[in-house]
Amino acid sequence: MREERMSKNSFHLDQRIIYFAVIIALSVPLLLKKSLPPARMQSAEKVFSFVESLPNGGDGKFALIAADFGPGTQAENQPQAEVFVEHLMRRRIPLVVFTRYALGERFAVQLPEKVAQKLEAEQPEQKWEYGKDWITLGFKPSGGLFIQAFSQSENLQEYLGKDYAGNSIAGFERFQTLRSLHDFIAVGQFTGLSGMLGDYIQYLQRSGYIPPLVHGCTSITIPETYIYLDSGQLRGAFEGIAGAAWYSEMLKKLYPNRAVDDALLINTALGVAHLVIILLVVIGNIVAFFEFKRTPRSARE
Amino acid sequence: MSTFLGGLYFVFYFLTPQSALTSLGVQGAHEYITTGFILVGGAAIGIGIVNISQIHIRKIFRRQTGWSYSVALICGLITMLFLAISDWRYDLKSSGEIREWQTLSQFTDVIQKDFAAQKSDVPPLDVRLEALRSAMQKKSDEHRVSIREDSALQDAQSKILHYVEYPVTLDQLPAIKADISQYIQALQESLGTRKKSLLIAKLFSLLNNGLFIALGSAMFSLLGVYIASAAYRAFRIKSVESSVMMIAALIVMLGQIPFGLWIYEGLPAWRLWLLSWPNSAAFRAITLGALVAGLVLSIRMWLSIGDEGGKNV
Repeated sequence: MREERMSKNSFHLDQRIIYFAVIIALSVPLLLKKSLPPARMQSAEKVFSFVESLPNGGDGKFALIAADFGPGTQAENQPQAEVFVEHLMRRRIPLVVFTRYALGERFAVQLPEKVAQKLEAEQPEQKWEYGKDWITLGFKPSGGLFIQAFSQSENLQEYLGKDYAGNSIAGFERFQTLRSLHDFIAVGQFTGLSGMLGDYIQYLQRSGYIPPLVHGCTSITIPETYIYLDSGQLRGAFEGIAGAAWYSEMLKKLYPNRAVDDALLINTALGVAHLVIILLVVIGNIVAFFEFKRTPRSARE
Repeated sequence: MSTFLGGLYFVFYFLTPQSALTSLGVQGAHEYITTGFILVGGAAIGIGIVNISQIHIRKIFRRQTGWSYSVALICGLITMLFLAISDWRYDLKSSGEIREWQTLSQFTDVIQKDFAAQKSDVPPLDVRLEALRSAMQKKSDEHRVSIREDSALQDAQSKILHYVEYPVTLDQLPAIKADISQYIQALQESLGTRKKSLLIAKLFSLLNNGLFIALGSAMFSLLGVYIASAAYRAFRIKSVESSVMMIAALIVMLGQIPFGLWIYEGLPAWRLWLLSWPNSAAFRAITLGALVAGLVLSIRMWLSIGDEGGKNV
């Protein structure tokens, strides 16, 4: 009753104006290609320090990349995965890329290709090749079951068999030493799906060995990630696009010739949209406050 | 019963020490067992396709309400199935060609290792070298026509043809392996380039990457504007608790965007404290509760408790 009496005289902002404001807030920085320095993300710094501590070339070991994201969370997860893969590729650590999300297969295939092309454009005298610097396993169904079997396998070449295109993994010379989970010195898992990370935390271990795990999450799942960061089960995390932007900034300091990537642009656009949402919430509360004051005491009860 | 037995295996597997599993032979079989479960999951996708087809084809034939949308769905399903299977078959054929050359490369390693180890239970060295030479000749002859227009592939193949003209010797094996690797690399690039020019690959890319993926991103991006509208309409400070939530939300939001630094440089640190301490404590409690509930639900499903249909099994 009270809300009805108040709403008759209430100021109502048309939803279309709100939608328009958000669209403008997101598009202007992207179209103008203007980016601002990102906020410092300590969890992304932990990832950076961890990758820097890995031996150049991997010393016969590998990194596992789980690109468990699809088109819905591509905007945040893809830049995270790109900066992480870029850092590993620069250090020449061979990668094994896969996805547990059916819609993520395209991203799993194209992610290392895109990063390799970018690195070759920056350093034309160097090459990054499929089969030498990375292999892509494609989509692996049945989620947790796959991670369990993968972790316990004593011969990963036999268990995995082929890559996404049907090529035998045993045919790739650099990956012939891949035998078990013990051969992985880093795992990067990127997803916006709630509950996916739990499978890796729970099952990705073998005979007491737990490979260091790094997680890339969307902004909405940051709270879920912090419990694992705090317990040390994650070596570090990319907190949404802000984490990718700060990581990109750190890579730029280490490799000055590095080209600008999407992470900083998207982070800036998202920052503007955040400000618009905060402004809308503040306006809504101010309007509600003045309406409340204007409403007679009898109508308030 | 099947649910119970399936669950029983995993309970047994997780609770039994690994040494016991190895001695019982379960550890070695675990891969095959989980692959079996994965196959069952894959069968569920097939059942889903059959089910969708049944429902919508029935709708089309009976001209029920919305039957035109069912036509669109069935057409989309058939088109994508056809394109995806064609794409997969091309990849299968390509990988088959590459695998044969990889086998030859591995064969050079095996010959050298067996010779160095002086193994007696293998064919004589000259027989194996001749087998290698004739296999390389046969594979090269198969491709001679198809690679006529590919100069990079022809260059790589000419190096291999150099070896097939005369009997192969043991000291040539490392060089043969290196040239085969180069040929495989050139073949992969050539097959990849050829694939991109195929109509089926272009159609698949158009429908999958250009339409399906793009529509998926667009659909999720709508959530952003809905959230903004919902935040304006619903986020009201009406109590102490909502005030605390609002302040926390402001600190977390401003702490991770570039503009937060303009307001106060310490905001990222405040954000970090909020997420590391109060948030983690609360989230752990919520997660523990949810997991206990999940455990109870799993036990109910495993033992079919409360399942009326189970009584008749």
